[in-house]
Amino acid sequence: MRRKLILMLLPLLFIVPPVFAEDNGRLSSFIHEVEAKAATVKTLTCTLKQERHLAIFARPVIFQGRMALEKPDKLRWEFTSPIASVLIFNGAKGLKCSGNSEPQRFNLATDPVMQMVSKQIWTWVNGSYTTLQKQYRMVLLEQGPCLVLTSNDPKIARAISSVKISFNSTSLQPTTVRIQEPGGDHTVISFSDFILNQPLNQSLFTRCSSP
Amino acid sequence: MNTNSAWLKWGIAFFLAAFGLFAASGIYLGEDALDLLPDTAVRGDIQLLQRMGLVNRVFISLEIDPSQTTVSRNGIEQALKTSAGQVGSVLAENPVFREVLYQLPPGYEWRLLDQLWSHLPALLAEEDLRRIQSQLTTDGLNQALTEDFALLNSPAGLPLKEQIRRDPLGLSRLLIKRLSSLRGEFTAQIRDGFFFSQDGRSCLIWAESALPLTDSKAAEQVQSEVQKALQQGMVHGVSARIIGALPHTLANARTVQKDLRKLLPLATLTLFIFFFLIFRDPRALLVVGIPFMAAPVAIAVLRLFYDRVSAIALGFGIVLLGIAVDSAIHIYLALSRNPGGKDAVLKGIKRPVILSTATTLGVFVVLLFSEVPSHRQMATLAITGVFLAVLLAWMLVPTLAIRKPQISKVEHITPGIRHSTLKLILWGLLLAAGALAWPGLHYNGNLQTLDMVTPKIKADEAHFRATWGPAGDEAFILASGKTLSQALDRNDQVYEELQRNSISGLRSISPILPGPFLQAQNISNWNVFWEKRRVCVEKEIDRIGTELGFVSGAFSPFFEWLSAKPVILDPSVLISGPLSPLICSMLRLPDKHGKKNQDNNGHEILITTIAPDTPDTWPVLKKLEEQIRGVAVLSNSKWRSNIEALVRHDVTRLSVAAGLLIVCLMWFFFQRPMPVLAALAPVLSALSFMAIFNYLCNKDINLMHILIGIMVIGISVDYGIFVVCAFQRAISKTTFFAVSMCAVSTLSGFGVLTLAEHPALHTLGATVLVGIGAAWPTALWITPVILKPYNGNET
Repeated sequence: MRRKLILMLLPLLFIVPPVFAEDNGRLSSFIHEVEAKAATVKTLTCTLKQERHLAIFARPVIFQGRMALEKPDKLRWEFTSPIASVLIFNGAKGLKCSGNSEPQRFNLATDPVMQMVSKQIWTWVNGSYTTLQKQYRMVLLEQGPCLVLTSNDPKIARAISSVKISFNSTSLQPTTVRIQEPGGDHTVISFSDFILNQPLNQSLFTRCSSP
Repeated sequence: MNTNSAWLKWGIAFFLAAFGLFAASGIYLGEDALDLLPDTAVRGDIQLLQRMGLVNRVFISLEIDPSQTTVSRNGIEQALKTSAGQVGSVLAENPVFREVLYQLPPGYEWRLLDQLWSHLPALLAEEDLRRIQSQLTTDGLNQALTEDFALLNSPAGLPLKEQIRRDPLGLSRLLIKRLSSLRGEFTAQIRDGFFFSQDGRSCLIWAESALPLTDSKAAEQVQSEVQKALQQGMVHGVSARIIGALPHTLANARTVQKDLRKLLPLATLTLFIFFFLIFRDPRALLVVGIPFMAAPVAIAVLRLFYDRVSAIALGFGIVLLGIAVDSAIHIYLALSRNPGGKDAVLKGIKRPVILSTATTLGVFVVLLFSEVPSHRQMATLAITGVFLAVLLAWMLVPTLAIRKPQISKVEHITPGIRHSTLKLILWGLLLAAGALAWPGLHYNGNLQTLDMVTPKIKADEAHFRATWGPAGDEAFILASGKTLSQALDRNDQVYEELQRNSISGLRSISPILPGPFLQAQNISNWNVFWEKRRVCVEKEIDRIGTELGFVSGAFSPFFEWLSAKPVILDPSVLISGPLSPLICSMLRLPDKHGKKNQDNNGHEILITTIAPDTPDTWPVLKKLEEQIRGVAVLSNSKWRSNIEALVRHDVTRLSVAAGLLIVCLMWFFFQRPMPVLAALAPVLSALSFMAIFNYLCNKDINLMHILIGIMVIGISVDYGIFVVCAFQRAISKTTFFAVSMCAVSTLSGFGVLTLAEHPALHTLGATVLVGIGAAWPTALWITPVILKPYNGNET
């Protein structure tokens, strides 16, 4: 009986690995496609909507705004409502404005918080998922399609349980990013109205006020 | 001469030399540039700098080759990080280096903020409390919480959620500002813990050598280890520039070696050809060599007085023995050419030999009182050596001298004293010009004038300053204490005083590691500050937060922290924390590395503050030493002014003493003014011409001029003495010939040094050339003219 069972299961030993290999193959091929698309993008603008569900907020907070990006090192993240705020990274320097307060210039070399934020943002917006594979376990879900990332680093895992990125099936641009935190807090950022590879006004990356 | 007696004399001489060699064989030679410095305040300063590890620090600036224009920014950064990581780790494993700083540990910023947060009340000063107070108005709190709300909803919000709950008022920004005090005018930016330049094309490593970098042998070893690390660690396309004392020490040592390799054979060959052509007798060459047989005994005697002898003093002291060659030449020529019996000739020459030896020894006795240790060693060596060398010459030269077959009476002539008035006028003009030039000369205490700065060193240093800063000179303010607490308290006083005088660009640990006194004061101020405000602020933050969309109690971690008892920051937290290498580079605990050779006061703790050293800041810095106990200020401008003052003092003291001694000796020997003036005439000419020459060159006098000047005085007074003595016995052509032989040999021996690349050797050669160049014709043409009326009166 036992021998029969082994004989019955034997073919599975040869079948199961090709299934995993196929998954890995699909993931690699998908990542390759996303990266190839991302490599063609030199500039990008889009609108964004962010929903923050935090325990310290009385209710979910929705922010809306725009993002502008010029590779390799210029990025503007702007919220227009409910509180206007702008965060600009331009090389090693940056600028942040919030509400009516005075613009604050910062230098990534001397501001560890902004250095970390910049590093995180660039990791995501550069679309270098091959690099991210070293830090995150990735699973490709067909719906969307979307990628689910969970960190290998326990320190990051303590702050972020998972990141789910949904892509537009034709342009392969990320449309939604859901960041889940361990305590139940989560954030959903949606991107839309992409304009790719159009020349950008450089004042977007030097001034808080919109051009 | 009895052959047995000659052999006996040579036997004694060789035995002495052999004994000297044996006794001197274990001498410990040091090649430390510090031996050239006056050993009072300035030397102490440099020892303090050495103890702080500042002199022995090697800076390595890794750069992407300018030709690598096609490499991407990320590629450049990665290449530099890999190179810095590999080179740094190789250096860190090498026992030749102690502190090696090339990368701060990952996440150091957060760890540091976490460590310091609980001690914030002990760190914030009154000025910070005033800033916090301005935030505690309704508008201020509203703005702070609105910013928090916006920040939480910005990309930075995710990692900052707990931080904002803990610190809604952004007090940690005050900490970050304080951390910038470790940077000063240093313009590095930190990427992944590596120190990058602003343009991202350079990466910095610095290491403290465990061996003294002012010592040329040690410097060669350190250089070899650095090169090995660079070869092992640098990736393709990356090059390195090395900055600090290391390239200077190496350039000096290598240039001196190169010069001596090139010039010593040339000088020796010139001398040998010259002597051979004149005397056409190989034994004459032995005459020149005899005085140097005294060298081993002189070195052995030197060893009795000094445990460690400067190689510079030893080398130069042996050169000074060459002065005794003059006596040997005079004895040889007198014996071979003067009429009369051997005993009569020796009797005739005895007086000038004794006189010249006495003046030479007198000059070196004066040098024994120099502030510079290597000068004193040199003087000790020269006194013993010259005395012995003259004794050997007196004993051995007669065994070599062969009288000329025919000595005509024509050898005995009256000196040429034609055109006496014209000669005296010209000499008077030379002295007048010298006297006019003398006050215009400037004692340049800057040791860099004797430093060999190659174009590469100059270019590397300029590039380093442009890349990393600071743009100008820096002053080091060292606060010392018997305990760490005392040193930290004094360091706080220094920082406060500099801040009070609005001196910016300071690098200090005081803002992040105050002493216990200031910490206790800060905590007391903090408690008083929050006691009155805490409850109100809590209610107001809760009210405004709720209005903005926060839940009630969202910032409870902040108020829990505020209610806790503030804790004093133990220095060990920072010393062993993520910024340990940076902190330790500014804080030296006693005998940390067990290297007592670099520790002049091993039980003390030293803390450095670095400030810009400019004409504006210097008056404030200068006062710190008087205002605060246990504080020493070290700066280039201070060294320059101190060395200048010390050198000026030394020059005046030694010159006056040497001058008086020589005049007294002359007076004692000749007892009349005219012979004294005649004997001193070559000295006056030499001094005048040296003054005019330096005035025409750059109007500077440095340490080397003084040293060589004293030697030139010693040699030129001998010319005068021999001529005066010869004149008193009726002038002999042989004396003129001997003086000329001595002068030409000295000029050819030292003159070749004018071809040296090293500024110190070049100065040596030029000074001798100018001084002896003036003394020689004066002895031949002016001394007899001065003696003429005197001689006439006597006869």
